[in-house]
Amino acid sequence: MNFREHLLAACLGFVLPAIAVIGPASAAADAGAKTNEAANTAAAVRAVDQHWLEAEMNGDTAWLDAMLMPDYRTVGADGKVGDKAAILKSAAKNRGSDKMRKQVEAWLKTHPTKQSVVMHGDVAILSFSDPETGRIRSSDIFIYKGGSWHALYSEHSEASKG
Amino acid sequence: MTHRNVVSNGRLACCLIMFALEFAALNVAAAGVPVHAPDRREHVDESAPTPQAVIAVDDHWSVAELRGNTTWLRSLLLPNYRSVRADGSVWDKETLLAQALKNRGHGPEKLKAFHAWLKTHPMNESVIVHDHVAILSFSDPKTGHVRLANVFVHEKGRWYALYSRLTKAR
Repeated sequence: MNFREHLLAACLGFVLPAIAVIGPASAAADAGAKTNEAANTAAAVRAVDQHWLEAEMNGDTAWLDAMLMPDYRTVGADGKVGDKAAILKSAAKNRGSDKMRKQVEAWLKTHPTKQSVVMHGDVAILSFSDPETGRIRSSDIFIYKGGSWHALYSEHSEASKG
Repeated sequence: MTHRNVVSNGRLACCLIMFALEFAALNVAAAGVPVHAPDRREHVDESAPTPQAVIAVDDHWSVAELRGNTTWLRSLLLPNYRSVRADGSVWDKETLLAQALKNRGHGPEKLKAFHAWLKTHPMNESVIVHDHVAILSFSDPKTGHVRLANVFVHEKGRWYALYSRLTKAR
């Protein structure tokens, strides 16, 4: 889901685009709404990730603040590290604007992506890969805590570029 | 979060991947590395749910891999363990075991080469522990860029490796 990296790139000069989401971003909120995000399931992890995308595009920093663990980190392909505060800051800039949403939708159309979830108890790793090469573009690591999923760590590979 | 400067502590762990990438063909004569040295640190309880234990397990991992101790590695790596390289390609548990197996019988020279590599590639370690999940990251002390991260889970009284990620930072 590397619209998030788009945001970071704009804000911090981070490395970029990775993933995509299944389906157009505009339909994402609906898809998430149909799934119980609080469930300890792979479907819920996907739904939370989709919600994450929507929250960044909408500037829903309250939701992001609750979902991201305090020491959440995102690591770019070059090893650069971003934190929770940077994500909240860049998401806030999107509030009231559809500029980012349009960029994301355009990017998604040209970057088909496969999602896969590895569940291990209350830990989930959601990975996004290039369907042609199988190479992983990025991964998000979630932990299930207090009845909901929280993002702890994200990483991005060279395959996320382009 | 716990931080540690790897160079000051000698052994390092999963920088093995980076080490292997750069020095796979390196053939260094064995000297000064005891053949029967234990893989693990005797003074750290690797089963404890602490950052120190995570680091100790990671150290143990590096030595086990260099010595081809696939029995221990098999017990450490979860069945769905994955290691994602900088280019996005994926190694699974069996691939890692097969790579480690090649080191069997060459432990001393591998360890020596690894220690030499560490001297020229200083590394900071940091550990984040959330309940039974730990993320151990290795970064360049000058740039702060993360080179590698390992994700562990603590269950049934010990740490298991679930995921590794390598970046292009060297």
